[in-house]
Amino acid sequence: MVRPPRVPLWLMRLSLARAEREPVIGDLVEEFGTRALTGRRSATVWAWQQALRSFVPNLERRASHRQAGRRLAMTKGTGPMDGLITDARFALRLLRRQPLMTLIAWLSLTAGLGLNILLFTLANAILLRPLPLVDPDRLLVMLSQRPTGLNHNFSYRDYVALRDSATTVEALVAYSRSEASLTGTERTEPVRGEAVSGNFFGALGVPLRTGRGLTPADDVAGAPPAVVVSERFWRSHFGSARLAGQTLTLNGSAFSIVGIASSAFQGMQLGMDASFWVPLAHMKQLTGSDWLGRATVSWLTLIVRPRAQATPSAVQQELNARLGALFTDRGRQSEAVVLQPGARGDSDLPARLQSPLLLLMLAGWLVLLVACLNVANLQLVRTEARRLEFAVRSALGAARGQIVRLLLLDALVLASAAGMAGVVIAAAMKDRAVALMAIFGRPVSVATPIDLRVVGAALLFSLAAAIIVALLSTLRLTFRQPAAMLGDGRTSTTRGRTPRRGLVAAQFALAMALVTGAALLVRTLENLRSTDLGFDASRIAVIEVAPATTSVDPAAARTYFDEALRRVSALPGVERAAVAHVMPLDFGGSRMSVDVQGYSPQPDEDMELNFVLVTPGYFDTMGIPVLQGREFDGRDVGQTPRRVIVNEAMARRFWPGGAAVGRFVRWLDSGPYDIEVVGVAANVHYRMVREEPRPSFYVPFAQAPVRGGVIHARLAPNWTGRLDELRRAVAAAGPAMAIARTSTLGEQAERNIADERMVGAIGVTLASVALLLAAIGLYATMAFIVGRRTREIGVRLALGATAPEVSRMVVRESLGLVGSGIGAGLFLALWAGRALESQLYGVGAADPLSLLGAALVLATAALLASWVPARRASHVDPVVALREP
Amino acid sequence: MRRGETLGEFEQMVLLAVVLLGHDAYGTTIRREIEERTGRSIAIGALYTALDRLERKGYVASTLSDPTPQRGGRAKRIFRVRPSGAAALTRSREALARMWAGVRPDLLKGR
Repeated sequence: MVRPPRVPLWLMRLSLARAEREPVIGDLVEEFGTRALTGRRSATVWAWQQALRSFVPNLERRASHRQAGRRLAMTKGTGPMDGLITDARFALRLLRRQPLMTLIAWLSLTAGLGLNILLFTLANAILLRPLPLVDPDRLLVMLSQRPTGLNHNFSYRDYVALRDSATTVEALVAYSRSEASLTGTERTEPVRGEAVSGNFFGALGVPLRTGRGLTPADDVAGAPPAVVVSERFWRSHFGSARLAGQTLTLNGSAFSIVGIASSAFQGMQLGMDASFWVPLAHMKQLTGSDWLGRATVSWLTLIVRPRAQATPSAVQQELNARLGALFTDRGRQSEAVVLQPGARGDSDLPARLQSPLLLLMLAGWLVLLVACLNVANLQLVRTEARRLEFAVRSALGAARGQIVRLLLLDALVLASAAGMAGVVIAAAMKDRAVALMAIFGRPVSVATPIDLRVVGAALLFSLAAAIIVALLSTLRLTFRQPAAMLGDGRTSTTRGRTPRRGLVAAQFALAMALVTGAALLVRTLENLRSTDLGFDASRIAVIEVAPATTSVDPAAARTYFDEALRRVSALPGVERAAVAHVMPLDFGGSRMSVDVQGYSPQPDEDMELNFVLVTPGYFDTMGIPVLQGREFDGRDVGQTPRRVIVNEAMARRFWPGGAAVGRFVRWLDSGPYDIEVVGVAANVHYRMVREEPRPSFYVPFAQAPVRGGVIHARLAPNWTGRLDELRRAVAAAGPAMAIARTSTLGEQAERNIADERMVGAIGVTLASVALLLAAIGLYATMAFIVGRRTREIGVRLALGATAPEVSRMVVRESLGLVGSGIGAGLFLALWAGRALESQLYGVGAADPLSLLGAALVLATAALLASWVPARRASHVDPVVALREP
Repeated sequence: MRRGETLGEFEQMVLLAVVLLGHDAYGTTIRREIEERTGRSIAIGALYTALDRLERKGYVASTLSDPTPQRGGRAKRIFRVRPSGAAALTRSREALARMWAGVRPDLLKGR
């Protein structure tokens, strides 16, 4: 028998009286079973419809069962929950009786809750959700402390020594990101995966779709090459084929596919989408170089699964001692071991997005607060209408608590409906929000399920919203005596305006903070976009290529690049072309220690600098001015003499006097200083748009053993859209390399500021919603005030006031209201700017232009919102108004 | 309950379905009967509200059956019409018939 989906079943059960559950749920289950035979999907839709449509009737029936004759909703109960259902039913009826008001209130709350649930869904996926492994919370990432910061990588030799000796550790797992060219399909394509130790699948408990995981037996030299692929990769490349006998050709070597990982597992690096996992022992087939044997190359991330009895500090102590011993054996300075939680692997995504996401969530709560104020405002209008009812109830002996409970129920019903819609909104928007994120300039791939944690948060947010709304709407109610409430029917013109005005002012104060924050974020984005990067980003195309097989050696690579450059330069739209080993604004880059002749570094001074390998013509291609000396040319295409070009920052750091050209450096700590500085180039933003240029240097491409690289081409202005032709020219240069990426540096710069773009986009959305809500609140209030003052306005008109004067009076009143809100909001806005400070670039936290702009936007919104009520006021017919009772 | 009270349209449908189904009248079959005959989609909750009301008026009676496996071992609540229910149906039908008497098709065209 097919069971109906859980949530509708639960909704049904929740709404039914105990005695009814068995037969009614039975009906649902039975018919679902019959319907599921013809179509599972339509049966599911049916079950949902049934649950949702039956919810209210069930509650009403349940209430009428209990009430047995008590018709008036207010009860003198015996227990605290007595009459609750009756009240809830009553609340529902009231909400249904004022559909427009209810709709606006519901939409306000839905917007506020939806945004918050969406933000929480993102935060959950990135900051909270563990990887789908066995006992992920017990996993630790092993790092070591270096003077320059935390080191994330270890060599294979260190890994093996630690793995085989540590006693407090149940398993030590190693992995490394790995990229390879996939051949054997229609076209060569780059794929990303992970090289992992043999115990990776077993010790971590990686979930598998089918087949088996890699085992320690796969991770020995000479074992038949095995690979596990991701479910997504399997589907896109093999469809529904059978697993047995399939192979994958990576960098020219065949690996047989032994298993498919479950789609829930996308690799150890959150946000990166791994397609394959190969044993470390086969790294040589994959990269062509023997990384396993080299003790000085650190490239592995280590994950620790401690023994059940071992405390983290015991594990830390042991690993510390063992790593220290290894380092002293090799004569290296010892590094302290640092253990960090490993439930989410070792990705920089959480660390990078943590504070932006928290800030956005904070802003989200402010928006929710604006929405609550809005709803409370509307509620006040309704409680105004219900004042007589409350007075009667109060006079008949209803406790104040009961009235508050009634209002709370009202708010709860509204908030739960809005919360449900909010979950739907979050589910619909989450993919769009994820698309705003990037990791290392590539789209982020992360699962964002609406899981129990999200549902819990949605409930919590809804409950909080309901309580706030209820408290705000009882503000004035509960302080009144029934006699006063009964007595003061409709004569008052001014009373009842104060709390409502306060609510509107508060809305505008909050909106002021949010709009200012958004303005600061937009200004930041503008500043980033207009940053002078030091090169002509929009006109430079970059094509990254990687060796298609491991047989491509540096000599073959150089021959290939000569040919590729010849073909690219021959294109009519290419003004100049060159090759570098990495591309700008790609977050990474290479670093190397430098020893400068005549410079003695401080003990802790970081002498590791970024460098780029470039062919002659690189600076001309990029449009980077060479300030002193010369650029690389035909003299720099051999292995010797060794030369270097430094950037301005490096020249200033090591040769502050001026003349850097003609000085010498060396890479190693020994040997002659034989590398001559031949030029000083202007600074560029090489790694990140946001970062000030750092000291860095350039080395001739021919003087390093490089096997891949990036072709840079300076395009004629009308060629920037014709990357395909460039791509074809590069592809025609030979089969040695596979094209990994093609883009322009302008696009690269946009990807480089993806975090800021995401924060800006979400920030602007939040501010717009807050502004809209505040405007609705103002409109409703002004409309109400004008309605209440019809008589007074009639008198004014009768006594000679002109229609424009009346309009101006209304607008003045609303601007006064908004003005006090903006004034109070100024302080909130300054505080918001301070909170945002870490996200800003090129703009101060108290930027006057942003503050002024925000105030103007708010005032404009206020004018628009009060225009209709003002017009209505000016159209009051004095005769009619005065005749009204 | 007051004697001679008339039935609402939905109540009539439910009551008629119970009559038609005889010994096999319970939630699922009643709902299906009405849906098939009228094309109206009925919410379970609304149906039970009507049945509840009919039972309180004394028009139907219900008993729990033995658990059935198609329902995950849950019992059915079987309904049957009581004499007063049958009388109410007849009364409603007669009342309507009296009202319909003399209504010609052209009168229904409206204006």
